[in-house]
Amino acid sequence: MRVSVDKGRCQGHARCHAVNPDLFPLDDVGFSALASAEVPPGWEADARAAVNNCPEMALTIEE
Amino acid sequence: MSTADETKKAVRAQAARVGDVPNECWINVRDEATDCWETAYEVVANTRGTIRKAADVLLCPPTLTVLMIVIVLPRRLRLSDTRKRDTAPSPLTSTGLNMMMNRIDYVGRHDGRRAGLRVTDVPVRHGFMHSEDTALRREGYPAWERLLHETPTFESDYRSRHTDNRIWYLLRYEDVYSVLRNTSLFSSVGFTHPDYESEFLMIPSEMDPPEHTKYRTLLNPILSPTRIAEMEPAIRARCRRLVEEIRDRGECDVINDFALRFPTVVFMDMLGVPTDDLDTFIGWVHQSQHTSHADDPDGRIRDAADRAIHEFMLGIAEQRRSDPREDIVSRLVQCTLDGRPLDRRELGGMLYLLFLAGLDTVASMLGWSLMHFAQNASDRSRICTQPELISSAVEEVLRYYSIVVISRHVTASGKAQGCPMAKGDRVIVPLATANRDPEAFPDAGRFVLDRSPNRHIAFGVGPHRCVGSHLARLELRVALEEWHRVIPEYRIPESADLGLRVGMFVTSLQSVPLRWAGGPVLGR
Repeated sequence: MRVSVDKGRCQGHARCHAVNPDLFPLDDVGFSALASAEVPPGWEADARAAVNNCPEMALTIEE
Repeated sequence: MSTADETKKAVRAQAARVGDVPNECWINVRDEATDCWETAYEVVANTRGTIRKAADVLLCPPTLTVLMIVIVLPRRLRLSDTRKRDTAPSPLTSTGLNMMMNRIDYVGRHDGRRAGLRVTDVPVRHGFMHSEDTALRREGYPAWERLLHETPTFESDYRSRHTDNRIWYLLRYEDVYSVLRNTSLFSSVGFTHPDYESEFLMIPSEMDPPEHTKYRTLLNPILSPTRIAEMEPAIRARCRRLVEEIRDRGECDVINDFALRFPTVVFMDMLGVPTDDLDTFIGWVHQSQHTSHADDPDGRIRDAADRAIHEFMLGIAEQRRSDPREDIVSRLVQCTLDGRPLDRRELGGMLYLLFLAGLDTVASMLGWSLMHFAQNASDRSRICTQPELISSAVEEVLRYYSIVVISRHVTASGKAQGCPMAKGDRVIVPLATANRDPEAFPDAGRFVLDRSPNRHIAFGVGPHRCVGSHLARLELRVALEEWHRVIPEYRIPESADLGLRVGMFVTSLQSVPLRWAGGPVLGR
């Protein structure tokens, strides 16, 4: 599973970071520092929760 | 002088340009001598078909003459009286004409006068303004839910000194989301609200990208999650002190004794000003944000408070210029934009925004939170026994008790969100209805403490997303933690009037009286 962020949509709500700060790091201004990452095993539920929690719908999952 | 046919043709072409197909062609005629954008009169379609078509009306000279006479009569004969709605329509008398949901637009010319056509079925709520609506003021959220259910999109023909344009209310989550993300069509520039006129510009909330972006880039680092997290111990200490001052009283008015004081004291610490002036600050907030139109019809009280806030903040800025510290004002004073420092207007506008944006809002949310937990014992007991749920509870309070109503103006005519908008029209999007939209949230009308996911937009979406959201969340979480640590059981006295105030931009509670088993304990 891969999770990616559309940086053009990210507005720094940090709701993803609230779900899992390691999976969804922020830059020092509070915007997603993710780009695209492989989701470690056991964190799939967190990844899905974060995607569903983003008000800007900036996150996508590739299974 | 065009014929009725030519006018109708022109009008259909106009409608086709915005993508609509008119099914009834009515002529709306207005006296140009007054040069007023308000409708002098309207002739509308009756779905029961008891009004004859315009063609019939126009081609009948006596009727036309009477219609013209009727139409040039002064505004006081305007049929905006809702009790006329059910009377049988007759084109021969002003009282016989039926005002209905489908209205008329201005698009052409006929006999030297403006003539028009309505091509939409967006309903109209005559004279509706959320800050003046009695149902909203009396009931709050259930009234918003009813509006969402009955007319998720509607037009209001409310007019004021400051606006002659139409107002579109868009209540659905999907529409609110679209509006707030489309900053080029829905602009924040200028007077964004029909009734609100102020000489003080909030920077950058009253700007659009790309200008908005330049200032926003300066604010983001100052209120970033990392910066805010660093402030947690100091914020918690402030909160603890406030709660402990109240604890032994056994009663308080949450709004005045705690909810407004807490974020204000935090803000004063952020500014590096002594908190002895707390009551002055709170006074300014009240005068700037809480004066009603009745108390302050010219806005003089509000303007005086706004001026005081500006002068105070600019005074601090001057001090920090010569004596910089590690605080937000110092950082802003040292910022550069396009290679130059911020000027007085920019600093004033940004500091004014920072001053006002985080006080009333956080205070209202705290009021709503404690009101909710006072009235919902099982939710309260859950957060007392499981304080790790408080973060999630804060999100659900933000969703369920959203307080902000956002306003924009339309920059280009055309169909948007199902409405035939004209350039200059106002759009009002209440976050409360978006956040209670059953199409966006399962069980939207219920408060679910550990709701997940919770994609609420209480802090907005798009480039104007509340820059203080991280601070607000921290303050709410800390306040609920500290309060319940010390006062876990409390209630609202019977027949307490919470004084709901539906403001133009923010809905607030004026008072939340609470009682608990407290008072001085012997031996402590």
